[in-house]
Amino acid sequence: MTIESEVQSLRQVSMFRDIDPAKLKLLAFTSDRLSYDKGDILFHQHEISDSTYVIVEGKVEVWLSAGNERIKVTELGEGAMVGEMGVLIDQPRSATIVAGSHVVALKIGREIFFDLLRQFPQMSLAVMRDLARRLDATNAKLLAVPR
Amino acid sequence: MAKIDKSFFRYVWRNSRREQITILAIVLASLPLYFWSLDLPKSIVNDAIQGRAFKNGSATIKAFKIVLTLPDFLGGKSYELFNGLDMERVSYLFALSMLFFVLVLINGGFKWLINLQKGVMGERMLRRLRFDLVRQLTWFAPEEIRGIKPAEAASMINNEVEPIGVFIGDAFVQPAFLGTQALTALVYILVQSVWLGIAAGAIVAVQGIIIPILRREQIRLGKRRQIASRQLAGRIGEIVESSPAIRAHATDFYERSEIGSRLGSLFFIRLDLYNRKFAVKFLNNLLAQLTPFFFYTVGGYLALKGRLDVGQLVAVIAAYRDLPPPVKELIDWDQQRNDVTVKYEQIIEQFDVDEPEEGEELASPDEIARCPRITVDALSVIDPHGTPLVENVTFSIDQPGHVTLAGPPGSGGEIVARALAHQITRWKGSICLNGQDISRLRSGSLARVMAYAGPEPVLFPSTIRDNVVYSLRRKPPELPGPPLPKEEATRRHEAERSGNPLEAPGDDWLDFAAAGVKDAAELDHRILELFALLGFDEDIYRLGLLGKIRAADDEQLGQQFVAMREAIRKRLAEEGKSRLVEPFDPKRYNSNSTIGENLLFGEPVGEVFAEHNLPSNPYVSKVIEADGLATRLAAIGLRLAEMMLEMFAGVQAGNPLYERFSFLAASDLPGFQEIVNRSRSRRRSETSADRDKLISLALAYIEPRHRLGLLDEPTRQAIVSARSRLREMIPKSLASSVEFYDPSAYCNAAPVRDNLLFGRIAYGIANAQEQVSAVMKSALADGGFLNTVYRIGLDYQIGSHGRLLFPRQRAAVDLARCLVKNPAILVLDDALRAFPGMEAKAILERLSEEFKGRLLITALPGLDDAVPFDLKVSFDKGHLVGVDKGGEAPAATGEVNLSARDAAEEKRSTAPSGETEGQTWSDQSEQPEQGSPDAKREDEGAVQRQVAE
Repeated sequence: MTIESEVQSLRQVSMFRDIDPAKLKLLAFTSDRLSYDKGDILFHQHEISDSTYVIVEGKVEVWLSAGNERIKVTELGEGAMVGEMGVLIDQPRSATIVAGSHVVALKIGREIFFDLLRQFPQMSLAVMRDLARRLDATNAKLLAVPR
Repeated sequence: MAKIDKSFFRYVWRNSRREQITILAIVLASLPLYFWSLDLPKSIVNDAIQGRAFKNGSATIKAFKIVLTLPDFLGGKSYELFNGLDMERVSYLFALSMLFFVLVLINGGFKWLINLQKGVMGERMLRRLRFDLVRQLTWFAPEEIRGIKPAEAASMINNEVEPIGVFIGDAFVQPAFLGTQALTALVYILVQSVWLGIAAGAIVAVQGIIIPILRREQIRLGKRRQIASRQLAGRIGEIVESSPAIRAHATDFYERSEIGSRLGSLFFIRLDLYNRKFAVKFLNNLLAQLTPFFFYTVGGYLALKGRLDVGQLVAVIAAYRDLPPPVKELIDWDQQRNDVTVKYEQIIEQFDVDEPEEGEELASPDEIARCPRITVDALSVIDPHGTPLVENVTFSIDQPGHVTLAGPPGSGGEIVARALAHQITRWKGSICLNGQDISRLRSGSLARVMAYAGPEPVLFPSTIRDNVVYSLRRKPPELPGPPLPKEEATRRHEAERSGNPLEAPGDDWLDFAAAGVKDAAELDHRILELFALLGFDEDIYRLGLLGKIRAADDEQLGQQFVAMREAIRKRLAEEGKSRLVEPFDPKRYNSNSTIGENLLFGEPVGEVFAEHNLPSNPYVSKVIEADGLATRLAAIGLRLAEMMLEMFAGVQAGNPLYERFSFLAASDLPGFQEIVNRSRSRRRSETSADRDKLISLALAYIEPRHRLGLLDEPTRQAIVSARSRLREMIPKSLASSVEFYDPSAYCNAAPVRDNLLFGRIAYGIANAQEQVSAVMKSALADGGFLNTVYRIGLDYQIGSHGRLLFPRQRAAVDLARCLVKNPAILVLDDALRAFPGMEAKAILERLSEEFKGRLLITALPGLDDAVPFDLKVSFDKGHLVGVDKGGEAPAATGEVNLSARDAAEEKRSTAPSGETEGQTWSDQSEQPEQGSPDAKREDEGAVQRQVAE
């Protein structure tokens, strides 16, 4: 597995689609490539948000816990980014992320993430677009909830 | 021991009388032989060579006959003690010459002895003087010592007293010796001719009176020079200390010019000094030359007139030749005397402090340990500018427990805490500990029952352990009686002669009993317990893993650690975690190490084989050139450089990305751009420096970490084979600069962790570091080596002022130092400021628990109500504003009713303690329910405020 193949994976991520390959290479280079076995925890809910993750291989499960209850919210696959929300607003993790299979992820440290956003406006735009899309999806879900 | 005398000579005489007299005696004893050796050449010439002894043409004489002739009043008889030897002229000449030779040897011996004695005495006195100065330094009150600049004090004690020591040997001996010599010559001249004697005397008098007067200005300048150079030393010390500020504000130019101007004024003082010095010298020489002029004219005139014969004149002139040198030396001596006394007085002035009064012993340490009682009565502390820090504070503590001196920072609690610990000594009012005024206690006796930790830990450049046990170094070891080994006896004898302590420093000083332990091993255990209490034990473990042991000193431990490698590997395998660590194998490439580490396969000792020096090292480059490895590495470097240039294009210099992730700094990029251009050009014009740079880049590469796909199998093979060549062919001169990894040997140059793991943690596996650490820790625990690692952690060198530790670690070391001596009373004055809020609270809770049954007094701004207290004394703007006994009642806040409470408090706390209920904190058991009336009122106030909100 080399940077080149990671760059290929990164190009699958919607927010990185429009970014210059050289910059994606920089992103891959400055992040840690980590492998997880099924059941390993990427991070726990309420932990400090110190990094974001891009899933390069495999799938992860998003779990929420409230009191004693635990609910699996969703599953995310290759190309998904997790943990960026907490980093952006400097809040603890809002969910627990569990490897649902063998997972390879790129861990992008908080400072690097901000640096990249600052350096490359197109990346900021991509992140914004992604968040907006999610908000839109949430709104749609809210509307769909029967009153 | 008394204070250092104000007068230099009194100090020297008082402390070296015996030695001065001894040397003087030796000088006197040497004089007859000296004169004999002056007289002997005359005999050789007259008696042996010219043959005057062989009167009447006899061939032999009785040489060296010794005859004792009694004076007339005893009968005037002669006794022949030695009949003499029959000698011819030639043998007589040789005998006399031999005698002269022997006398020369004896005189030389005397000179050697005198100089040695003077030197040794000077050194002894110097040792005493320095010691006395340091001793006096410890007499200063805390308020005074802050005014002394450390560098200046050091310069005084170390450098400035040096010439004084040299002079001490001459202080009494020189004038006595030279004086007699000069006097003899003068008397001799006087005997020959009164007039010439008077003339010679007059000129000597002029020399002796006028020149010292002229030199007075020189002395004044000398004094100025001394002060100026001392200040320079102080300023240099300040520059070193304030280097962060200088860097932060880019004031280095200013600092340099400031130093430059100081050096300039020093130069001009010296210039003045030189002008004076040579003027005086000129005068001196002139006077010396003037005398013969007088002798030739006046003496010649007298001789012509027949009032002096020629023989006398020649004798006088010869005698006069002996007069100026001692006089000149005497004047020099006087000059030195002036210089040295000025210096001495200058220094003594700086250390002018009276010996503290002996003071009382603690009357009842046991009672204090059982039930410490502190009474603060009308305490006022005023700062040097006259601003009151606390005013008229009165309260008392009757029982063990947790007392908090509360209030916002600067409100006075911390001042009271400092006063309680006698860190401040200038106050009005009184503080009594179980009935004894603490300001009247003997110095040091308070420290036996009390420990104080302030906001700025004072740490020494030594190990963590040394810093902690510092508080236990207070029990002078018992001196073993005779018979002593010779070395120890000499050491002690010398210490005695210089008024120094006889006890040598070392571990014998540790008061194990105070720490409640038997020996050093138990003490280590206790220290670790305390660190656990302070949340510092994990740090110690980590420092232990990063520490190094000298297996040479502890061969067994090194071998045991080597054995642990296998145990750790086995455990990793058992837990299915083998893939987390890639072990070092001499025959295999370790992909989780850098190329450089793989090449060297060892730990560099010093700089020779440091990674950045490898490419330019001639031996290494010879090894890697051999099978084209250098070319391969340069190619990797080139690819790396290209990729870096591509990736970092457009990333601005100064971006932290460079620091953490690039192989090169932003400023290196243009240089590498040129190298890449040169390499890619058709002409292949790359230089060997280019090549070194590229190889250097490649050496830092780790495939799984950087993932640039630059390493192929043949290159790995080439590196492994170069590795073994590097090891086998290493020249003797370089062998000590690297310690190669050996699976069966401990590597002294590498930290403990690397030795235990003997491999690298794999990149790219989540939480590998944590998992391996956990396995390692449990394996160490099972092997019984956990404590060993902790102990190695205690050996960690913390650097000057503990700079190699984080602030919270420094604070923990200071607190452990306080706790290890098990004080009956612990005073914390903002000592937890280095800890984050939650941690500080947790530590305070544990300390409060630890001090059950003892007295814990805290002035910790921000933590006033963090843990339950038994007594809270609240301060505001230097005034006591509330005494709250017990419970977790909310703090008194706001300035509502402040004056009323002030007055009430005043009244209550000045009343005799223990008489009225509720006045002082008297019974712990009833505290949670029964707050003071004040606390209740505040409660109501708080409720009301809440309702209003």
